[in-house]
Amino acid sequence: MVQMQTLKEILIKNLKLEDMTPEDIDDTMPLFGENGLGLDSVDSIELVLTVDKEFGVKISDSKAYETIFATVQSLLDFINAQK
Amino acid sequence: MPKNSVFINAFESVCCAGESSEALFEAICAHQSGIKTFDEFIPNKPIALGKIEKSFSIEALLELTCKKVLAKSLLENFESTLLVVGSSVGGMQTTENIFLRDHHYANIDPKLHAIDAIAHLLSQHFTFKDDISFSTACTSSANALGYAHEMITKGVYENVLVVGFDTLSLTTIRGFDALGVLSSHACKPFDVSRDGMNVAEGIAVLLLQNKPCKESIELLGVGYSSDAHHMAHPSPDGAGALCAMQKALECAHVQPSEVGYINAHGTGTQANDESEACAIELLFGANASVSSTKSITGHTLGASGALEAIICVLALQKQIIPPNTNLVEPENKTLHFAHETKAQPFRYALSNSLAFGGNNTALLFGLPQ
Amino acid sequence: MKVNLEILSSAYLLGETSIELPRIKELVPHMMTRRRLTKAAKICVELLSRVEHFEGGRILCGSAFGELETTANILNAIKNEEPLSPTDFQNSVYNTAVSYLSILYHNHNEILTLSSGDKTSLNVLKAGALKALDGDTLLLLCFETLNILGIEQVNHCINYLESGVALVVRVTEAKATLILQKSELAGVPNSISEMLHVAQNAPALESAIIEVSL
Repeated sequence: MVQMQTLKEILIKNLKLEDMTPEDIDDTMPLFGENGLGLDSVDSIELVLTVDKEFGVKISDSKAYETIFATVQSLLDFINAQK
Repeated sequence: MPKNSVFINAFESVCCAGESSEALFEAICAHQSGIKTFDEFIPNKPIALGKIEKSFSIEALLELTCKKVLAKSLLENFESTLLVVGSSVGGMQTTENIFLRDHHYANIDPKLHAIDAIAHLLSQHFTFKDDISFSTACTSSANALGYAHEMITKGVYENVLVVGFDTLSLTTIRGFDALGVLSSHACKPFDVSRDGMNVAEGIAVLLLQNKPCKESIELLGVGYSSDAHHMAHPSPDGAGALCAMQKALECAHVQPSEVGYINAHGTGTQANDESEACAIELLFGANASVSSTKSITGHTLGASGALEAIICVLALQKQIIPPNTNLVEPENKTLHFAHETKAQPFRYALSNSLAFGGNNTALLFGLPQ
Repeated sequence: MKVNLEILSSAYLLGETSIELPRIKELVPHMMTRRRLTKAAKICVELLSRVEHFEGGRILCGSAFGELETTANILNAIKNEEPLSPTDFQNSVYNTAVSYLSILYHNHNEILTLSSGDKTSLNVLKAGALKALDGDTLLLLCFETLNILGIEQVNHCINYLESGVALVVRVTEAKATLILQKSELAGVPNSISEMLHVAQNAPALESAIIEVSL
């Protein structure tokens, strides 16, 4: 089981979220869009690469990005469901 | 300051759809795409690319194409000519071959790696008065043409040779794949079902001079702008492209209603074609015939500006509107897309090039005034 | 044709291995954009903050080797058969740095990047002089960021692996007060040398004017 803390640390490292700590990312904060963390479409591709490289989980359907990447919680749930 | 006129007096090109510019134009008019599927570039993933059929050395192709242009011109040599190069990868293919073989940089010659490699190789075969190279991703050779235009209009040079050149490289192929914008078949610019672009290679060489000769076409206007939006996505409303097109027309004192043909950047990606169509619609409505020729040539990246300039020049010389290929159902319902090759009198042709970083360049060509 | 350019403002940065940029967070407070900037882009941001008389007009930039770090990352990913980062790819084009300036400062003007090997900074000056004939004030930039792993395998003469120069220029009829020549500082890249010489000497002059031969 991947822990929330681990996932947040990996997101911060791989997406180069400078000066952010895991405490700065709320579990239910939207990852995309200006009202949340503010990731963009290039980040969504980087996320797919990160999830594969760090957790061995592949996401092949780009239409599923919106659901899987909605929040850190939804991403964690998805990863743990695949493992 | 008096403004000289700028004439395109000789040109030649090589790309996947034709070993010469004439062959290319015939292929466009006959809907004969040069794009093919390859599976050796990305493991387990066939992709469609515009690869020049005959294998070539970069140096030999540069020399041969420039020699052909020289032979078509009235110049004896290029000694009074400025060389302006536009390229986005320069010598990257050479660097990749060496690095992937050796796994270190020690055998890489910096002079053959960077953008300047092209001017450097050409200087082994020709003497130019001076040279300068532009590298702005997909607008590289459009910007080279713009610079050539300015050097002549301002009376600095009488002769400028523009070379647009990009080879295929793993960097660009895998890079565009990483962005998720490659198609596995020949692209469908402006179509509702379009699913991406085709990376391609090509060389396009044009001689620009301040005096006309038989069959000259004039480069009348250049427009530049920056989107200031995102590195890899155009601004969705096409505002940057609109601005560049407007400036090119203003530069030439030509009204949108006078433009007969627009050679769009039209890469076949969702983002580019939607925003570019928006911009063209705002400025031209259904007045001009619009086509993208990238379904035939692929996207030759830094060479595309010069290659598509040649297509516009030939279209004007022959008074033929080049058609779209693979356009079945246009997403934009307003624009007048050319579906078939059509002989039609027209005076002006506009060519768009839109690049990473939001760099936009529009070039206006016309029958001599 | 000769064109005289008045140097309204200038700045330069040199680093033997790396240029320190302690103000970057202050200059680019928006972290989500700042995290994407290449070193070259950050150098250009710092240079822009140090010059005056440029309110957002046309920009001309030159670099012989462009974004070497992202290029190297891509080559290594291909060599190691790893997936390529899309961020690295979009940041590998030669016009990356000035494009970020355009995005950060909402600059919609003509912004060009050239790359002419050792002649890069001379060509930036020539292109700048040509465009300055239109009467506007231009920002001329050049940079090199060569501090990548393994650079010593190909670099045998450059002592300053990171460098950048900015000049704010305008055309003038006045006579030249500074000769265009390579910088006297040993070990700087040839590709920035002439512009560096101008930036090093312009501040000492009441009116710094160079003559550029187009």
